[in-house]
Amino acid sequence: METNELIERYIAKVGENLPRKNREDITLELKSLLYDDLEERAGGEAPTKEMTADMLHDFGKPETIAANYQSERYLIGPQLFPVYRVVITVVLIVIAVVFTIPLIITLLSGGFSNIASWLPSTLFGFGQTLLLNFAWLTIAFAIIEKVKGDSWAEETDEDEDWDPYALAPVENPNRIKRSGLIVGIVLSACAIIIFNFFPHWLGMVIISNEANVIIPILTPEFLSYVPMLTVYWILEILFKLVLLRQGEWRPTTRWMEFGLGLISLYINYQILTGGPITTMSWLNLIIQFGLGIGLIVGVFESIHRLYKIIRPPIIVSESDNSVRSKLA
Amino acid sequence: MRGMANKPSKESLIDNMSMELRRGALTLAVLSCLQEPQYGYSLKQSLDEQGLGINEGTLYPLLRRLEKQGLLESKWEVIDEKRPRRYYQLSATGATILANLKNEWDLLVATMNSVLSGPEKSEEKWKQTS
Repeated sequence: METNELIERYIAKVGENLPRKNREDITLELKSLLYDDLEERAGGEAPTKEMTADMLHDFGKPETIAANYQSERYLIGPQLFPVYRVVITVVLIVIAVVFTIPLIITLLSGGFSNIASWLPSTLFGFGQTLLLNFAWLTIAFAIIEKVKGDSWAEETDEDEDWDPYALAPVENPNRIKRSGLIVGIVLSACAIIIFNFFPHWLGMVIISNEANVIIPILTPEFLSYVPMLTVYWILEILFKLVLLRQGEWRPTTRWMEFGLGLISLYINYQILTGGPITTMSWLNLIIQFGLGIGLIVGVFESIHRLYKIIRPPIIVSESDNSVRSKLA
Repeated sequence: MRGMANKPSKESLIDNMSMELRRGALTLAVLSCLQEPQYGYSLKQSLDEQGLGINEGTLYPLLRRLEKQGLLESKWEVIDEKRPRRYYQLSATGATILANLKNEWDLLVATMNSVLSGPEKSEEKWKQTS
């Protein structure tokens, strides 16, 4: 192999990794520069193969050199990435919800018995849909990135004009929302009164010439849960009163909230798996569906609440003290 | 376990950080050298001679970037038929920017010298007060 051959190979390799637009120009210049260097190394004599190899080695890997000639390349650049992440999150959540609804319906309509026959294919379909949408979105964003080029690189006026005073205030995580608590107490009290003393109010009103007739729609099966529900609502009112009195969240009230959540999950499950709730089958389905969603959300909420209570603090008090003693 | 993941060695950290330091200065040096037209290899040599050794793989792409930004102008010169050379020279824009950058550099050097001598000064103050 001749010295020229080595240089030609090197240049060809660099060229492979350069954009077509200025490939020829850059490789031509590179070639002239490499021969300049080699000539200098040889010091007037004929350059040897080893000398050439040494020079190329010092020059650097062809891929690295080619990369240096180009600005950083992204599939999805840092400007577009935040939007991409939001879109991906929203789409994936929508898909998850769309798959969960028929799942709940199937389970409610007695799908437990032959779960092995349909669950694997459903999960497979779910995974496939997720992947496919992920891929399409990524391709779409990559195309946008390609088309927009560097045109968004300049600072926009928005970047210049941003106002620090417009930043949203940081919420104290332990602050309570009084109005929300009061509304909650009122609603629980109303529920206790209506379900215990006037359950017949919850019905269909039939207006006729003689008198307005209300047909009760709650089934006796459902009404049998009312004592349990009443106990829960009373506990909830007490809990909210404690919270109002304390004026802020404390570990004890966090645990109480978690406990109440578990009780409501239990009641929800009992009602869902018990008999029909109303005398109208279509309404039954809607309510059961709502309870099903509530059950799933409730489980996740409880896990999240528990995590928030038991997670270790980021700053431990010991290091706090050591910093303080250093400052003192 | 988090802290143990692939920590770079001290040597490679020093290498990387001093390269970062030189990178900014290099642009200024290149602009300054190109007040006279030069081709890539001759520029590299003159930088070498002044003690600013730089890898070719970094220098030559930098010339292209500066040209794309309008700070340099270039043209092919065919003095030797076998080896045409691309000569670079500061453009009018480049000259203005160079003047600005020079001022910036002086300011930076003065500031950095003061910052870097800082810890000793504050140590002295500490001794005086305690």
